[in-house]
Amino acid sequence: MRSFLSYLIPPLFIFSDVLASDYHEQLNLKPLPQSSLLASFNFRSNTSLSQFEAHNFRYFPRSLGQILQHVGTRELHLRFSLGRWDAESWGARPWDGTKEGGTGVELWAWLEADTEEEADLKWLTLTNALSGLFCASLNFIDETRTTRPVMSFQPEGDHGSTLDNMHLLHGVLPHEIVCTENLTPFLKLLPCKGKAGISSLLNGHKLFDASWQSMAIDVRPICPLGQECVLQIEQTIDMVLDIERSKRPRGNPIPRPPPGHDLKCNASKPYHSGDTCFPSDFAEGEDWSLDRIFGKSLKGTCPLTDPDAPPVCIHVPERRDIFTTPGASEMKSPDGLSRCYQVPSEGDFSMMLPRMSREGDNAKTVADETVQPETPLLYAERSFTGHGQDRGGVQSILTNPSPDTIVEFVYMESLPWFMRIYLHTLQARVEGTSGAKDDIVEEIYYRPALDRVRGTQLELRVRIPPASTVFLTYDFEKSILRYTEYPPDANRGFDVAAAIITILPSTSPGAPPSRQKTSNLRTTSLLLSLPTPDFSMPYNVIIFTSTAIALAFGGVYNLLVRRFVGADEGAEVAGGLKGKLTLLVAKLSAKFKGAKGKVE
Amino acid sequence: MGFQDTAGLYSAAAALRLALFTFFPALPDLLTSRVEVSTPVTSFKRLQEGLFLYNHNVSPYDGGVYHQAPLLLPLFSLLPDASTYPFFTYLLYILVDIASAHALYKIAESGEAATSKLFTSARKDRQWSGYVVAAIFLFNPFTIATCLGRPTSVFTTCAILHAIVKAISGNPLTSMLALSFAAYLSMYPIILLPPLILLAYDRQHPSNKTISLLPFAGITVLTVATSLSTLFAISYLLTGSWEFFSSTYGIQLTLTDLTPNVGLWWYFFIEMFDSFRSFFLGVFWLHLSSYMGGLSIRIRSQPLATITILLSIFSIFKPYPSIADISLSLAVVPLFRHVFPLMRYTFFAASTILYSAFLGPAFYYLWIYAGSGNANFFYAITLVWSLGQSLLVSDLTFAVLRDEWEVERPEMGKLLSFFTPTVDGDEIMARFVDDTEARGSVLIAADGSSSMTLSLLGEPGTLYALPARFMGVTAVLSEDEMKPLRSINPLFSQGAHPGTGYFMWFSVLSTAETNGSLGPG
Repeated sequence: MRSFLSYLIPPLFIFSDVLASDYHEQLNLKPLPQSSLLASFNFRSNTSLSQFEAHNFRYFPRSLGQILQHVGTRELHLRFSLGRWDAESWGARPWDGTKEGGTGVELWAWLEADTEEEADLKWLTLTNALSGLFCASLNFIDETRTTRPVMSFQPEGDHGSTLDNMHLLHGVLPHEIVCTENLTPFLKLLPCKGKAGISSLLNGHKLFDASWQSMAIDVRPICPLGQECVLQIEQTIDMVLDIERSKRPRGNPIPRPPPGHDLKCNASKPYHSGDTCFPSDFAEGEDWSLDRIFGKSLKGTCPLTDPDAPPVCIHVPERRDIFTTPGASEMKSPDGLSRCYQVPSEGDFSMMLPRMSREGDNAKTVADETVQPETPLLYAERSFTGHGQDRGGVQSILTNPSPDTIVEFVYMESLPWFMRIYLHTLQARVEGTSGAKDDIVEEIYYRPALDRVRGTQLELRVRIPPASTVFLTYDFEKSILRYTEYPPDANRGFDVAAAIITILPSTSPGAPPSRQKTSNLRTTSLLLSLPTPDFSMPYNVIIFTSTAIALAFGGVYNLLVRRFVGADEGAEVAGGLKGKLTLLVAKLSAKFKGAKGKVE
Repeated sequence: MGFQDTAGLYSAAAALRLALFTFFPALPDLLTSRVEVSTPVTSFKRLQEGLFLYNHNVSPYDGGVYHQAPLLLPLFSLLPDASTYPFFTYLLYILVDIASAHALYKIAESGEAATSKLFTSARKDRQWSGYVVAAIFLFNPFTIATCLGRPTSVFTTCAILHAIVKAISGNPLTSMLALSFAAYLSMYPIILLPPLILLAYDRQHPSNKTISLLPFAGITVLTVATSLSTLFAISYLLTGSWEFFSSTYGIQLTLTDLTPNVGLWWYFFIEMFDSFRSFFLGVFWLHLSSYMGGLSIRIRSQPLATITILLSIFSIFKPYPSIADISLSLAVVPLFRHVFPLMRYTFFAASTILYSAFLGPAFYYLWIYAGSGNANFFYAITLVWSLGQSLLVSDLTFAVLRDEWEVERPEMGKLLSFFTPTVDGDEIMARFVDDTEARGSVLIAADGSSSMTLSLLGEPGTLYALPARFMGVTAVLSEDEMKPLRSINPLFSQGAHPGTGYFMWFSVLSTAETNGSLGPG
């Protein structure tokens, strides 16, 4: 394999600009508190726009490239996510949350089209094509699930003047369950296809067993100053693994209670002694190695990758012991908070982080094991309020933990049409700083839902004062649907997509670098239970209702078409139609008899 | 017919409503959220949402929430915000209720229900006064609940009642304007147009009686068409598009919003197979409008009866009925107090309606909140509710027709209950058990042996037992057998035995069968 590729690659590099077309991959590991490990895989390849338009795709996946060319997609973002990011203990999100999606599948793209109708048609083609490519139900992103966000999304690429006839469309499938069949096509898009390099660690059993994971594909044009524009595809997988859970052997995955002497106790409890043990939630100072938690070792490097960039980096304090397989070289960053490893191009690579002793001469503390996570700019939670199946409310709790900075963000909800919201009940209540004014909502963009045509789109631009919490609440009514519109598991409920929060870059000039770019976060999705009819009843209902109508109609018309007579006059007036008919028959028979008589 | 008589009544009704608004501040919002009070096309909460969007320059018709007429928006924009100053909204709804009650009062006082132009009921003296009819409307729990729940259907109710009162008082044009307004708000009142034209025609001022029915109908239809187009044009100017058409009236035709209500449509169209949906929508609308023609023709002489029956039918079979509709139907039915004795199932219908009125909310709770019942519970109770009302409708129809028939056939089914000389002593007034009466100078009793007239005179007609026995025999005899008898007398003979007192009598009758005079064939 290696020898074949080495023949193939040098000619390619000769004929192309190395800067314009390259491939880069990196795995960032970051141990998190509570015995979790964040693993961020990042794969990025560029191809020049001119090459791309000439159907010379190079490292750009051809299957995806052809779809994008066919529907005139200028920028594409696709997310497959699962689980919940525990911001309280894990801190700020990787990539500032820009590479994560809401639970399920989320897709947004800028399409080139002259009219909205044309954009809709192209969007339909795009979702259907991507649905086939990624084995996901993206084709169910119909008009009722598509929105055109106004404030929340800004193009990441450089578009120049083409921006004028570009249409942003956004669709979410919160019910989609991301699984192995989505990972396989994802890996196929990579130049090394999961056979070598960091992608060889990716395994559906581990990825979808994670506490939280997000797979992202971003395609955007980038025009560096004075250079040719390139089309960049960036594929990212972030996952938070529970170290203890991941170390469970594949052959014996069923957790069993550990024997008494292996039990990890929480020694801080007052009753902790030799014979009483309060089990601790997570094992502190757990030892782990790359091959145990991913189930296999890293298989060399991808030969196409930029040889200067180290493929594996880990963010741990300087005092943390790390052992690697021989052949790997370690590079420490100057701030002492991370180190990277250059991996031998062939052969397996693994790294081992041993258990750190909390006792003895060289005792280590928690601070030596993990880097303290960054505090996020904003905490967000969203939940339903109320009970019953005819109405309810939504409450979003947004907290600005910073003691001195104002956070300005756009809060976007795209809700299904059968959740009928009442915007006049929208309230934003601030708690925390005294004297905070209540009109913190600066701008509202609202597009109400139309039954069976489109969903609700609500975007709010909000400013939260420092160290305060905002409670956004509104009421909604639950519609009852036609019985054919319910899914087979109607009583499970309907998933409502996550709210997307886009934190706007700080406008003050002295803001730290982390505040000068857009960052995102998403709430969890919600489960909305609607009132259900009885699905076994259509015939009965049709019959009962029709009977009730027939009784009323019969009751009234029976009176209207009749003439009232006394009971004793019945026979004599029984005339009407019947009498006339009898008379007619008598006449006819008389004539007939007469005619017969003449003949005889 | 002044305001003075009823001022007390109206203030009592207003005070009751104000007290409920004041002492139970949570009650209006609770009732607004009830499916029995608020429907997608009348809900006050949806009105507020529409108003909010309208005031923020978002078209309320470009969404699935607001389905009410555009003119309500500027009307409610003029009022102070309902959530901060609810008092003004309450006041408006109380005033609308009183305006409706006053219209009812005038309808009842006009006596139109029993004495129309073409028909005078024999029971016309048994009517309730306007005061009673208005009180029944104002203190009906359904009306009070409607007023507190603030659905916009109260405006339709008010417009319909004013259309009737104007037609009766000989103002056909005003009446048609009021009807146009009702139809503009809720669409279905347009079905009331034919009986209302008849009513207005019958009650024209004698000065313009020359015009015949057809031109009259043409003019009134033209009036309605003109005023409706004006209202639509104003709405277009207000909202800037014709979107309100499909949102306000389209939803009633296509029933896209299936929110439960007390009617029959919602569950039927939830459970309906997709391919038959449009067919049954057509059938349901056809059914609703089919009563108009039949009733107008059959009860031509009493257009108000037709309107009353139609209003009751609407409250059962319109797409989004609520208790506001039954409160209107129960408001006009008491106008026909004089035919109540002719109704046969009042107890049954009343208890069915009462029973479903109490069980309905309970079953809705079981379905939606407790989860221990399913949709069939509430559906079943709406079915009972509708059956109870349709029983009332057909019974009322029967009573009205029977009342008409008794005038046509005064001899049928009369039983004297008493008679008395009139106060001036010139005439005798006879009252019958069916509450009708007759007057005349002479009362001739020809009512048989057990005569009511005799018993009223204190001489109850009885049979006297005579000290005699009587036995009769008939025998068919041949010509020969008859001879000895004929020899005594060819026709009859009689005689008495002086010793025993027996009496014997026979007669001979020669029939055609025996004497051969029966012709051939």
